[in-house]
Amino acid sequence: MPLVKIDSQEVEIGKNETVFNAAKRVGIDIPFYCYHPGLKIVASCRMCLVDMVGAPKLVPACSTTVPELPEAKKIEGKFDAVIFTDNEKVKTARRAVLEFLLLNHPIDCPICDKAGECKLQDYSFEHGNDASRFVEIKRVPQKKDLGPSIFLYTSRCIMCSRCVRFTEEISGTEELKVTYRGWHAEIDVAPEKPLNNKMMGNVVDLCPVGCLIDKHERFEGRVWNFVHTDSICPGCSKGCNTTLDTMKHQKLNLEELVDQVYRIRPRENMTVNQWWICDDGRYHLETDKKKTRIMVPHVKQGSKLAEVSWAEALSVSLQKIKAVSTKEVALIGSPYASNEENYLLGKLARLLGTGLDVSKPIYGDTQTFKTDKNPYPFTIESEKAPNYRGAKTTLSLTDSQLDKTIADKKVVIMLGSHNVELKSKPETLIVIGSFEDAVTAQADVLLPAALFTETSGTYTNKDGAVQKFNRAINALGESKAIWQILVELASGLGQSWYYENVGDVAKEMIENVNAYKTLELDKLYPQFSTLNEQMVV
Amino acid sequence: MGMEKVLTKMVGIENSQNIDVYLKHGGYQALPKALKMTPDALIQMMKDSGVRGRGGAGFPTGMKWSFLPKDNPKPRYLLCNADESEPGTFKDRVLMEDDPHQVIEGLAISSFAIQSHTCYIYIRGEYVKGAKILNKAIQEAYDKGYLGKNILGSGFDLDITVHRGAGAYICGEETGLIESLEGKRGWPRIKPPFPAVYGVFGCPTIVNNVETLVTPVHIINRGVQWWKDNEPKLYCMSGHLNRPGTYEAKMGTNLLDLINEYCGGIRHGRKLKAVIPGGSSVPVLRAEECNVAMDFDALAKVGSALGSAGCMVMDETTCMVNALWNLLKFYAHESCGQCTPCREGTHWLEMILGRIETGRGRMEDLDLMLETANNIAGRTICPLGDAAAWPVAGLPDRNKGNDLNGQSFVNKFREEFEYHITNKKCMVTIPHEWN
Repeated sequence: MPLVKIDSQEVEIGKNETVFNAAKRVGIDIPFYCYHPGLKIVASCRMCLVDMVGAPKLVPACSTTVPELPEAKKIEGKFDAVIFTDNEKVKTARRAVLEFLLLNHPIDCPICDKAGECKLQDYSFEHGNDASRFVEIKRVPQKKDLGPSIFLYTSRCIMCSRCVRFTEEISGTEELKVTYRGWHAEIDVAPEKPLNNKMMGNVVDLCPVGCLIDKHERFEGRVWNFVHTDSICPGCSKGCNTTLDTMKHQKLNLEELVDQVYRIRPRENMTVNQWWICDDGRYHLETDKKKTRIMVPHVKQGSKLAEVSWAEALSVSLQKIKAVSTKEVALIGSPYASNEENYLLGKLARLLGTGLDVSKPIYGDTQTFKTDKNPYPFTIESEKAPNYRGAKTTLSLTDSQLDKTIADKKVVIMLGSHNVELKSKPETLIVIGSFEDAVTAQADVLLPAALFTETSGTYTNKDGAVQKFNRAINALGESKAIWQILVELASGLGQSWYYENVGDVAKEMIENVNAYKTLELDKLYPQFSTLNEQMVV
Repeated sequence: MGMEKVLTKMVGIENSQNIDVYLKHGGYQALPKALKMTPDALIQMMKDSGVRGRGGAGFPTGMKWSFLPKDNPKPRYLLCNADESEPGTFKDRVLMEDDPHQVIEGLAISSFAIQSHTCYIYIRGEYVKGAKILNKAIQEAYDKGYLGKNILGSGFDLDITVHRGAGAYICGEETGLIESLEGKRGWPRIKPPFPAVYGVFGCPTIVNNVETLVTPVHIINRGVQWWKDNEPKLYCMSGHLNRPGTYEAKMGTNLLDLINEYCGGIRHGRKLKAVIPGGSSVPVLRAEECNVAMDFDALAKVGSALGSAGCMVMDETTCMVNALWNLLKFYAHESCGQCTPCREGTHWLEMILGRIETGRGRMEDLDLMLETANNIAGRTICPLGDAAAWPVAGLPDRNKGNDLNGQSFVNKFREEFEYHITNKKCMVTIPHEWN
C-alpha cells in the first residue's frame, strides 16, 4: 500500500482511497462543501485543495488518489506522496474560496435557519477573512418554492450541486437541475415539475448552507438550542437510524416549558439506511400530530369514557382481570412496541398462564429508489411497523392469529391498537395506547402510553438488526412508558418485579430470548444509566 | 510570403469543397498510404514530426495518442474539436468551409492511427455553413469509398458524424466537449481520468483540434523531415490591421512580419500598441516585445503563449482598460459555474474593471485584481479559470511557487489603469481627424 505523509503524520493509503479519506482517518479535517460520501465526486467547490509535493497546482483532496511510486522515485526515501493540508499556500486558497463564496452570499445569518450548523459560517470563522473586499452590488435572486415542502433561498446557494446529484443519483427523480451559467447559475426545477418525491427531505440535510430550507422547520427554532438524541424511525420495518433534534420551548402565555421534537434527521448507518431517510419517517411526527393523543387514563363509566387517575384506572383494570380466571385473559403484544415491552408482556402472560398473541402491523405502499449510480437502493418497506419481527421473536410467536386467540376470552389487554379489527368486543377491553381510534373508543380502560420519542428500547428491523432508540423528550400528559405500565399491572397481580430502567429489562430479555443471546448489552445501551426512567411501584 | 500553401492550398479554388476538385488537386493520396502503414507506425510518425496540439494547449499530439490504453476492450473514439470559440480564432473555419475533404482525410488517417471506428466532429453551433459543407463532403466521401465499411479495401471501417454544439465556450474544453456530446450540461470533468482512458461514453477517447488532425495528411505526403523543416501553421490575424484574415505561414514566422508583410501593416498607418498573440487567453505583448517568432517556445520565453494562434493586434487608439474589460466580460459570461473561483472570480474581475473604466476605480483595485487573478488561476477543474486570469496577471512562474508573474495587462499597461483611476477618463485620446 502506498505510504503518504499528510502534514506530519504517516498514513497508509488504499489503492483507490482519496487523500481526503486518508486524512480523515488520522484526524485531519479538510474543509469541503461539494463532497459527500454517498454522492459522485465533482471536486468543484475547491475548498478541499491541498498542497501535494511535486504537483504543479494545488489538488482537490476529495478526488486525488495516490499511486505507488517505484522504489527509486519515493519522496524522502519512503513516501509515495507528501501532502500539506495547512501550509500557507493552502490557507491562501481556502481564504480565497471563502471570499469568492461570500461575494454574493447574503449575510442574513440572524434570520437563516442554518445558522449554527452552516458550513459557510463555520469555515468563514475558521479559514476566512474578517472583512469583505467586495464593494459592488450583490446579486440577489429571489427565493423559490420548489415543491410541497422545500424552499430554495437562491441567494444563499454556493453551487455545491449536492442536491442536484442527490436527485440524479439517489432518488433517481431528477427534479433539480442547474440553470443558467457562471455567476448566474441557479438550482431550479422545471416548470410544472416540482420537487416532490418521498426522499426530498434529504436535500435539506445535504445543503451545506441555508439555501434549501424545509417548510416544516422554517423559523421554528435555532439549532444551538437543540439537543440531539439517537433514535430509530418507527415508520416501517426498515429501521432507519435517525437523530431527534429536540428543544424545550415556552408555550405562548404559559410559564411551563414544553418538550418538542423539532426535526428528525437521518443518522449514518451503512448497513441500514446509509445517509438517508424517507419523508414518511421525517414527517412522521407531523402525521402523529393530526391524530388525537390519549393524555390521561380513561375508564368506561356508563357508555362514555371518563378521565380518571392512574390509581383508579389500574385498580379498575386489576379488578376486571382478577374477576375472571387467567385462562379467560389474553395479552396482545404489538409490532409498534419495543422488544423490551413485548418481552415483559410475554413474561406476564407466561407467569399467569393467559392467552398471548401479537397484533398485525399495517401494510401500505412500498417504494424503491434505485439508480445505476447508487450501490445501495433505498426501499420504503410496505410493513408500516418498526418491530413486527422483534415482537414475534420476543413473544415466541410465528404469526398473528388475533381472532382465534381472543375468541373465548373475557379480558383482553392490548399494547396499542393500530390496525386491529375486533370481530366481537370482549367483555373487558384494556388498551395501553397513545392515539384514539376505533378500538380505543370501545375500550373499557384506556392507559396512555408514551411514544417512541418519549421512551427507550430496541426495535428489530426486517433484517433482524436490533437497534436502540433513546428517550428524547418527556412523556406527554400523564402517559407512561408501556414497560412501566406492565410492571405496575404485574405488581398488582402479585408479581414482584423490579427494574430500575429499561436497560434492566433488556438485560433480562437478552438472557431469556434465544435469538438475542448474542446481543451485546453495552453496545446497545451505552448510556442506559442516564435514561432517568425510574420504575414506579 | 511566397511560400507554397499547404494547409490552405484549396482556398480560392472554385468548388474546392467538391470531392472531384479535391482529387484533381492531389487529394486522398495520403489515406491509402496511411492504411498500408501500421497504427503504431503512424503514432510514431506523429511523435517524430513533433506536432503539437493547435487548439491552444500545445500538447504533443503523438504522445497524446500513445496514452490510449492497449488492453481496454471498449471501442475508441476520435473527437474532432471544431468548437473554435476562443476569441480571435477562426482558422478551423477556413479549413472546414473551404477544404472539408482535407479535414475528412485527416480524420480518416488519425482514426486509423488510433484504431477508432467512430469519429465525431463537434462543430461550433454558429458554424452552420461549415456543418452543411462538412455533411455534404462526408456524404461524397462515403460514396467514393473513403469512409464507411472497408475503406479502400483495407478492412478498416470508419463513420464520421457531425455534431453541432449549442453555443458555449466551455464546450471547446475537451472534457466539457465530451459531456456536451453525451447530451449533458457542458461541465468539464475532473482529471484524471484523462479522456484517453475514460472519455466519451466511458470509452478511450482522443480529442484534437481540426488543424491538428489535418497535419498527418501532409506529413504522410511530404515526409517527416520536410514537415520539421517547413511546418506550416495557420495564423488568425485580427484587429487593427489593413488586411486581417487567416494566413498560412511557416511555424515560427516573426510576429512583426505577419503584421507588416502578410497583413499589410496597421490600419491608417498608426502605431502598434499591443498584441495578444494566441487567442484571448494568453498574456498580452507590448509593441516592443513583438519582435518574436510565432511558435510555442519563443512565445513562452517572452511570457506569452502561441495558444490557438489567434493574433489580436491593437493600435495606439486602443484603451487597454476597455480591452481587458471586454475580455473579462467574455470569460464571466462563459464561465460554466462549476468551480467556485472561476464562477465568482471572473465576474468579480469584470465588475472591478467596469468600475475602473466608468471612473469609479480605486487605486487598490489594481492589486486586488492581480490577487484575484492569482486566486483563480490553477485552482479550477478546467483551464477556463487560467484563461481568464492570465490576461490580467500573466503566466504562472515556476520559480515563484506557480504564482502568476504579473506580466500582462494590469502591470504592462499599469500607467493607463492608474490614469483611468485618478483622472476618471481614458489616457488614449483619438485625434479628431482619425475618426
